[in-house]
Amino acid sequence: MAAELVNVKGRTKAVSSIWWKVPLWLALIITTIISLFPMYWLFVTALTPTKDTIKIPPDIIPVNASLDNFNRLFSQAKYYSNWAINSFVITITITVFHVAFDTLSGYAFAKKKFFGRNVLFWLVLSTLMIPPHVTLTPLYFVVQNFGLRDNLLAVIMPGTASVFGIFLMRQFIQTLPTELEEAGRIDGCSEWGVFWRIIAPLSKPAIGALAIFTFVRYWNDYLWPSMVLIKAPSQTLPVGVASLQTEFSTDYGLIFSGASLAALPMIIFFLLFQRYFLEGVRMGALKG
Amino acid sequence: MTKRLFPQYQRFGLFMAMALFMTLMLAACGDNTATPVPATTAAATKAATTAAATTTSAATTSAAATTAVATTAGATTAATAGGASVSKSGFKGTLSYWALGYAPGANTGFSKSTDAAVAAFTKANPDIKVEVVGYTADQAGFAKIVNAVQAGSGVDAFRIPNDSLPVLVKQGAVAPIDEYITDADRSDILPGLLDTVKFDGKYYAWPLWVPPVAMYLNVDIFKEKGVDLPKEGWTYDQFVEIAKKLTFTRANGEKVYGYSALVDPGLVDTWPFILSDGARPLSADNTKYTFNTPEGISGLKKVTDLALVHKVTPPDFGTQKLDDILTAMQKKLQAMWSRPSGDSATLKANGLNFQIIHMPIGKSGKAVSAGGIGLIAVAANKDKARLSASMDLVKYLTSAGVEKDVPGYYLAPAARKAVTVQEPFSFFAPIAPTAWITPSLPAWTQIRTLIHPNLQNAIFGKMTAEDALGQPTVEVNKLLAAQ
Amino acid sequence: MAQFDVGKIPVRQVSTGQRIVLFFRKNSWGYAFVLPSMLTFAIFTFFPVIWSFIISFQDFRPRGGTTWNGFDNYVKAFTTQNNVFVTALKNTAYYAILTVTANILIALILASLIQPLNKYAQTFFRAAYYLPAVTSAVIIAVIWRWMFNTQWGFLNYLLSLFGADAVRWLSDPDIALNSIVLSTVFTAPATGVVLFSAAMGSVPKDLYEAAELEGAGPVRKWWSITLPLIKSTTLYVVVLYTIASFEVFEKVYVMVPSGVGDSTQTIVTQIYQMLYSNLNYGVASAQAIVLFLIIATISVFQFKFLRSDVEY
Repeated sequence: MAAELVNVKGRTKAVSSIWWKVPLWLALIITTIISLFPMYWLFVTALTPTKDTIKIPPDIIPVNASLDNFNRLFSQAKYYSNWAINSFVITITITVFHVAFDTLSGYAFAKKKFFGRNVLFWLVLSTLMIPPHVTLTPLYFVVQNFGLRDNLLAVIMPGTASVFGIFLMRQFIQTLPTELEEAGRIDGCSEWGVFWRIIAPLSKPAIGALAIFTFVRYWNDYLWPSMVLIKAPSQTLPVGVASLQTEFSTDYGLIFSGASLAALPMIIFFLLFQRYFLEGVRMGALKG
Repeated sequence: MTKRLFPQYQRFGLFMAMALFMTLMLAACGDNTATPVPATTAAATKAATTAAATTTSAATTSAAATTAVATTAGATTAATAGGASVSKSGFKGTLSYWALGYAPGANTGFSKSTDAAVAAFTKANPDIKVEVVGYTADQAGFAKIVNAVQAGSGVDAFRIPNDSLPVLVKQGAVAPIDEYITDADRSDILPGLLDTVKFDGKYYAWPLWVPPVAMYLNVDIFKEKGVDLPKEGWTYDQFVEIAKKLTFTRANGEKVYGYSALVDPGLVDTWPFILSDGARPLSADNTKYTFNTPEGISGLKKVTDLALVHKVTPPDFGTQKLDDILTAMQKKLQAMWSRPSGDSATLKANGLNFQIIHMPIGKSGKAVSAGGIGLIAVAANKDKARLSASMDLVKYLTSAGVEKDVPGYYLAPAARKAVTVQEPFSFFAPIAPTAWITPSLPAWTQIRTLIHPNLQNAIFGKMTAEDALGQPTVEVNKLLAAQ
Repeated sequence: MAQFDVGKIPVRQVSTGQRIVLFFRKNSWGYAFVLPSMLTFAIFTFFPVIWSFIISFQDFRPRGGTTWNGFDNYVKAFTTQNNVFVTALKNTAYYAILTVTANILIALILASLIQPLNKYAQTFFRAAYYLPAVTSAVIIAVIWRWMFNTQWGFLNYLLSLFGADAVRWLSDPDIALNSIVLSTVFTAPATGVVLFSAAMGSVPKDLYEAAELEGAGPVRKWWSITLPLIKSTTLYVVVLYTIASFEVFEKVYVMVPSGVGDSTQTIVTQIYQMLYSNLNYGVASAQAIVLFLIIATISVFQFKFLRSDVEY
């Protein structure tokens, strides 16, 4: 009865019995199915011809699967490829800036001593508690004043740095031994050189994690892009996909094929880099 | 699919590099004026649409963000008969017209005819380009138009329902039309309509059309059950009888419902029932809340009974979205639908066999309808030439000439006597003058958001009709008193 | 902060003038490094926040005619439209309490369950739980709305297999908010599982061995060793989920755009309505500031409460 839940090496070998393992695996598999089912249903609906989408009972396995919805998506939602390109442009640009700005600041907050450092850091950190909706209207007027509406820069510029990124980089760089920097200085590196040749290469794992997170976050960003990217060709995938709902209101097959294609790049991206993702989640929460 | 998409992705790397570069370059000059790309209007052939898609896609990569800027090239449907007058504004450049419900290149009647109408205008005025920006009729859509109008740039003309206009006028964001409206216009526009856009003695928008609510009948379901189509002058009780007969389960398990309609703060699709016993939400001078009268309560009961007593409505009645109901109509799962005229175009395009009839009669003894007024307004602008050009555009878009140039442009009874609208919209024309029209009050948007959740709760059976209409009384009267 | 001592020693050995120069040089590099991100924050975060704060004391008219009106907006924030904001606060609190509790419990349990598995199985399950988190919240909400449809949604089909009556998931005011909670709970708490799982993996093994020698069973060990030692992670996850749940918007807005009575009105949907339907920027800003105060208070409280005895 007293089975072992914690995997312990050595003498106390797990007294695992089938009575423990079956419910354990069952529980895990059921929760996995529940958790992944909406994603599955998204793709099933996307593959089901629209005339069958409201059939009762529904086809749980897409027996009539066809790519017809996707064909129609590309012939009817004529800006879909624009949205995809915009999404890529926005997320890649933001990721590049994000990594650069956040790493620099993270380094400064971790290792540099300058007047007002702690005050500034806590000020920055406290903005985490500000709901993004507080700033929606003023931010819109700021962007409008720059003449940036319907310009991808309206989304890119506010996204060039983030509190989360600075926090993550600071936490990571703090764990690097200061002796390395000192050694670099003795070898004649400038301050920039120390950062570029010593800190940045050593921070690669954190930079990787930050890049991945930034990419996913801005790929899926909806509220702000939907306010500033108004004309159809300048929208991003989530915004465009949402607009498909009003444009093709009853064509569920087409709407879901649009949504599934918007979700697909991130799913592939995640499956390729999932190790770094999970590492990154952990790193972001390191005790500070 | 592959033919259209993949050429773009083959050059994807190049696109990305260019885009990144251009994005940085455009840091300072991000306005909409950057490289407008001429594209043909969707009114033209399929080939033209495809071409437009490909050209503009390259443009947006560079963050220039231009929608289909209409040129005369593809305006095949715009006849030369010439309703579009030449603008004397002397303005050269691009005007931005925000059209409610417009989707670029979409196969809907409104999008096509708007493209064609705008093309006709730009043909008469070669110096002026017009870009059409679509926005949706939901809260997200209004958020966009409100932001743009408030920020004061990027929008010149915009189509808006009359009950959403006053808040914008109050904020000083809308230009008065007094200098541009002629006596001929005044006498042409249906009596009373201009009063709804009058604030502090000035007129603030051009009335376009009046889409009142009528009942759509899904004829095939009537035939299936052998029920005769109702005749004009039918009563609420007859309506209920029919709805009951047409609520049934087919042999294959499909459930068919007699009636449904949208319930949303921005819509009045179910309101003809509430008004049918003679109630009105506000007193004639808009100073007092009058929905809490016995007529109002019995009117609301007519709606709630459909769900709670007669059970002729689908289970999601009250929270359905347009796509739910359109699907049900097209799949022949719903027999009757109260809705303004615009959607008859969609149903017609989808080949549905339907008929339209006046709303059933309540205790007031005559058919009552409800609706708003579709308006096109011009955003306040210090640039006189631009303002004047925008006025010319809007005047054309709300004129009789536009229906001549683009037959079928009007999707609802027009606001002008000179316009003759086509089938099936012409059916709504006699209803329009007698329909109850949503009030043009700055407080109305707040009043309707107060009433709406109560209507829903009454439909769900969580609130009695008395409470639903009685509870907002104090608050609504306060709002009315405050203006 | 040991690393600064190293820098201080040479400073003390030089003259005052040089020290100032050196100090300045050190400072300026620090400033230079934080400048780019601080510029972004200044323009796109600090400035809008301060402006928003100012607007909350004004009758704001973007096109001119703005007037000051003291604390009016804060009073109106609560009283306007028959106190709908109070309803929104209650709904949001309800949503937050249910989803945060459920998410933390589920995350803890799932993380504990995958702990004894081998490395590959652990990775598989963590990845499977994390997958929905890389998908847009809007898309997830669209799918859920689709599955919740009373007539042809998947959930009611599932119920019908068991002979149960159709549930009006999103059109019964007594159920709608719970349905939205359900959609959140049924999406595995990705971040939580990963974090708890990592924290549990770093608990020293000899503690468990010592406990076993004392005769402790698995549940006992979990309660007395695992839980206390991962308390700081728990704190972090609780704060994370609480903030997220108080800011819930897209999900509600996509699933029930016209509302279900007032039963699905949350703080942010109410702010959104105030902004773009009523154009009342002042009251909307005041409500947003109230939301900020709530989140700040909860965060501080959670830190104090959960931190008291976590250090190890």
